[in-house]
Amino acid sequence: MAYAIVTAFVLLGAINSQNNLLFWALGLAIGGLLASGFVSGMSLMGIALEREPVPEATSHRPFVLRYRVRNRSRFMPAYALLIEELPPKGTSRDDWALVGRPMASLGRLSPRRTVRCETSGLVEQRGPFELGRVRVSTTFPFGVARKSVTFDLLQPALATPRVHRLRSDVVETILEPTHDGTEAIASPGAGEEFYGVREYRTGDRVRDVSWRLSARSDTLVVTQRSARSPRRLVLHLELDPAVAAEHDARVEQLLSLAASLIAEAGRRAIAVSLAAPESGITTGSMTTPVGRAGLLRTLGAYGFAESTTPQGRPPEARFGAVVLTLTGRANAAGVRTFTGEDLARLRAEPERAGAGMEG
Amino acid sequence: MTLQGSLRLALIWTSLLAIVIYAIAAESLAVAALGVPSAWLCWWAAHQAWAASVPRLLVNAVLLVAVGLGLGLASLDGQFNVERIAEMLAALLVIKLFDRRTARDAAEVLALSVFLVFGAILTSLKLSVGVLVLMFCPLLVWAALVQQVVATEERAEAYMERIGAVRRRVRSGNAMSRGLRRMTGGLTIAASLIATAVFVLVPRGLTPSFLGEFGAERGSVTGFTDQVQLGRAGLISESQEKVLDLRVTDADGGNLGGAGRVYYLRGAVLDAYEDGNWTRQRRRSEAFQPRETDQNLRLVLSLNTPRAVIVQDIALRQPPSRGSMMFAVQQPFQWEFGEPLEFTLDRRGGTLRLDDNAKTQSYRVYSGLPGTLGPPRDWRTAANPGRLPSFPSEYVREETVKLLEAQGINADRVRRSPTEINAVTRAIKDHLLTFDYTLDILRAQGDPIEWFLSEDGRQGHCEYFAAAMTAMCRSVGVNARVVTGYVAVEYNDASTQYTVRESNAHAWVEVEHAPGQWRTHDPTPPADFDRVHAPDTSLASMARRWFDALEFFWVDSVVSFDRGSQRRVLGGEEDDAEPQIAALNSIAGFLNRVRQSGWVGAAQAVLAGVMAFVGVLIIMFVAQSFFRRLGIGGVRGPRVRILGGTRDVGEYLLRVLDKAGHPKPGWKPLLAHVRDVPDAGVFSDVVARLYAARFGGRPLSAAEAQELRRTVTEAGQNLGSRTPAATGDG
Repeated sequence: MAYAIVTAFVLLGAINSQNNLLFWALGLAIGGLLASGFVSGMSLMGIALEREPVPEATSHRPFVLRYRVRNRSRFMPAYALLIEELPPKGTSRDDWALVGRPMASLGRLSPRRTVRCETSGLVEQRGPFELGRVRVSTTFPFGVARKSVTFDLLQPALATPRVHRLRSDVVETILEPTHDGTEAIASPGAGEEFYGVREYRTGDRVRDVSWRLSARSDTLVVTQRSARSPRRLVLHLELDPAVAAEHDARVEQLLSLAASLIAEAGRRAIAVSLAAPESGITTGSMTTPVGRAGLLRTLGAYGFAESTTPQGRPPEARFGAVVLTLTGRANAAGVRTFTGEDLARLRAEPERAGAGMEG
Repeated sequence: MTLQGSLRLALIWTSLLAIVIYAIAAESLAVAALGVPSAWLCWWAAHQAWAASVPRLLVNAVLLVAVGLGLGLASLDGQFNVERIAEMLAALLVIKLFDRRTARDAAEVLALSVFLVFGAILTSLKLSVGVLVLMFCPLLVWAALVQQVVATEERAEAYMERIGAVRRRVRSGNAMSRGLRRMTGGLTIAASLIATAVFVLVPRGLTPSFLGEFGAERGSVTGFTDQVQLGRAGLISESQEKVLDLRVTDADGGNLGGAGRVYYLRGAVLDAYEDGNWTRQRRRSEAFQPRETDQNLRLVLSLNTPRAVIVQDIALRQPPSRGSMMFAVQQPFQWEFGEPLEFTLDRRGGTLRLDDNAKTQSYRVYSGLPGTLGPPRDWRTAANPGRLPSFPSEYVREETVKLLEAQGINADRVRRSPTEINAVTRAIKDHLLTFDYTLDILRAQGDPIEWFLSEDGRQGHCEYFAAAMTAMCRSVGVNARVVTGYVAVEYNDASTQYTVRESNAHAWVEVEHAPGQWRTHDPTPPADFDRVHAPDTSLASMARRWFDALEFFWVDSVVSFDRGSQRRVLGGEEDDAEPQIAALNSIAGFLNRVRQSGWVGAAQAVLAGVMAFVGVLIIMFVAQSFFRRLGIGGVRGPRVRILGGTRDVGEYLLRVLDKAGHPKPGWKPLLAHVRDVPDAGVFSDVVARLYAARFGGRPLSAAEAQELRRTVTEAGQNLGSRTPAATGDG
């Protein structure tokens, strides 16, 4: 618009003053206008774009969006490309999960080249969401008009609950290993506890030979030691669907606390298992990052995915489990109970908008 | 360098150049002396750490104060004054250079620079301004391109910042810099071509001054005056300031100019004398007629076309204002202008005085050679035989009579034949040649002409000589008049035109030899005339003449381009109102002919268009291949100079790898890339040799190049057989 106004002024000035250099300047302005339309149009004609699958999205934490942009043109490079995420067709901006419109820029794309570029997106709500269209636009060369081409790249994604860094002193007490007698020494290993004895086999270390027993039994016997028992965190979610429906914010807080504990357990190499009996969720003990990411996804999809509600009374929390409940009352003994409100007490940092934490 | 760094550089260069252009246009040393260092200082300060802490509100307040002051000063003049506005723009530009934090600020700086250049254009159209504006254009384009890229990056960064994500700024690679430079060149050329087309095609002379005058004040033509006041400076000027350029041709366009050939450009004709002043006699009002150009922008004074014509193309250095005299060689019978204008015609003197403020600065005059404009009239059949010219000084008459009688010429105030008039004028001229020429301003006691002719005088400049000769002729009944104007003596071989300067202002005499037939006489001693007016022949002056030729080209083809020039360029018919309309008519005629010729004609036209398009595509393809061969565009990997003219091994290697499914990423060095493909050893050896050729100063021979190609081919075949699918791109 500004360009058009300036051009109109130059036209008026040139006609009024009959100044030939102004006529030439007018020509330059018109030339710029035409060249701008031509260049921006031509540079976008050969653009193709693909969005790479979104790896992870955590609520309130920027996640990476990667694109492969190809310039199919044989001659024309593309400059100053702005790549924007738009809501899927039929979805209004207000209903879209993403904050704003994620944007990436690409300074230059040579002819017949493919490059990768990335930006970050942010969702502020846990749960599934959709990435919709991607618009590639440019105002190059003179910013006269924005030309764009839009790609319809519908892609479902899932945002896991918000993860907070928790106070280390509190976390240490929560994550302390619990001994309820049920943790039997299960297998021999390289720990320090005595496990048993057996006959010597080829390959056993000489230092493990129990000479006294061997002398008594007239057979070479070695001492076995127990395997080290991993530290373990059992998260027990007690989310009565009837109560949960009325306490949406508290449910989110509770899920966020669960996700934060999973993240803290991951930092300390503690195995985590999750149980939400009301939703039919019971997982094994996860020791790897992939396993923990699965737990977070389970939390992310909580309430959105189809769940199998068990018949009858749901099982009680195990002894030593961390029970996260809306009511603050656990239906089992020997457990530590937290509610969503406890998150504020446990959190290490004050609330900060838009700041994501490492999980 | 990062793109932001490039933009910073672009901004300061653009701003400095804009300020310099305006300073030159306005001839304002103050603007240059204050503006350039201030701009640089503000630019430097803007990227100091402390500058970020200066509140934006404060800067905006300073900007507002500058705008208020500028508008206030401009309003004091009572009219829209470009110079005041431009000075305000320069001040805003300097302040904005300090306040440039985002790409949007950069765009504002660029816009202010552009407006300042517009101010310069409105102030002056001199060649130096034009050249600097031409230099400014690519710089501006480059700055705009960089600004656009940075603005896009900043938008993405702003979003990242909003959501708390971190994004690192990347350095602009060589490809980006090279690409932007090429784009700058291409866009500048394309826009310039379009600009030239617009410049030529946009109709001139449509509703000029409908918004009033807001350009720089018009300069009057200096050095020349339309009256002679003896004893004052008058026409004496030693200024080398150029007044106009003159090209003289015959009716067929043959050049009539040349070194040593002098043309007298008449400005004013003066025939009334009183108290030392020669002015135009205004008693006979019918002698002055208001005239205006016709629809062909012509002013025709005589329908008789002379047998020999002198065509004068005159380009004034400044647009003429109301009251300016239009210069021409004697006996002009037709004038052509670039716009509709009104004049006052002095019928007897044959001079034109402008009654408008003209926009265009060039015109063409057709003059007839003396004696060729109409049949000669008998001197005995004068219209008013009873009235003979006289001069109101007895002393002058006595001196003239004494002179003529000494040479045996009848000194009575009688009607004379042309032959007798010749004798009288020759005698008077010869007498005056014995006088001394001086440029000193001499103040005489009493009448200046009497003093000049007396024994005490006998010295003066051209006005004295012309005035004295006119007075002497008239005192013995010979009709004469003083003419002031310029003499065109400085011929430029390079441009085949005369350059006329202020110092070429001159006064001479016209004597009526037969009724209505006036001849030019210059009583100034020729040696002194040459001394005063002859062009300098030093080496420096030769260089200056080349510059003058360039300046003439600028003035003739750009500054003074008008409707007349448009007609000449576009070749429109004389009676057409506008050449563009003629062009549209011709297109319409073509379409009509196609329609009338039926579908066969239409098909032929389409086929011709398609063939032309295909032809252009082929030319583009060949040109691209040629440039690629030269390594100017689209070459990946090292360029190899190969003796023997064989193909580029490096490119061949890249193509083989590409086909085999191992395209080289742009970021990866060639050697690192080939180490990652199977048969790395063979390819590594080839690349090592190529590197040695490219960087080690050991060029490949033709045989070596062939050998390397063969090696690459074999290795490529092995690679291809191992690679199941060749996919992907660079």
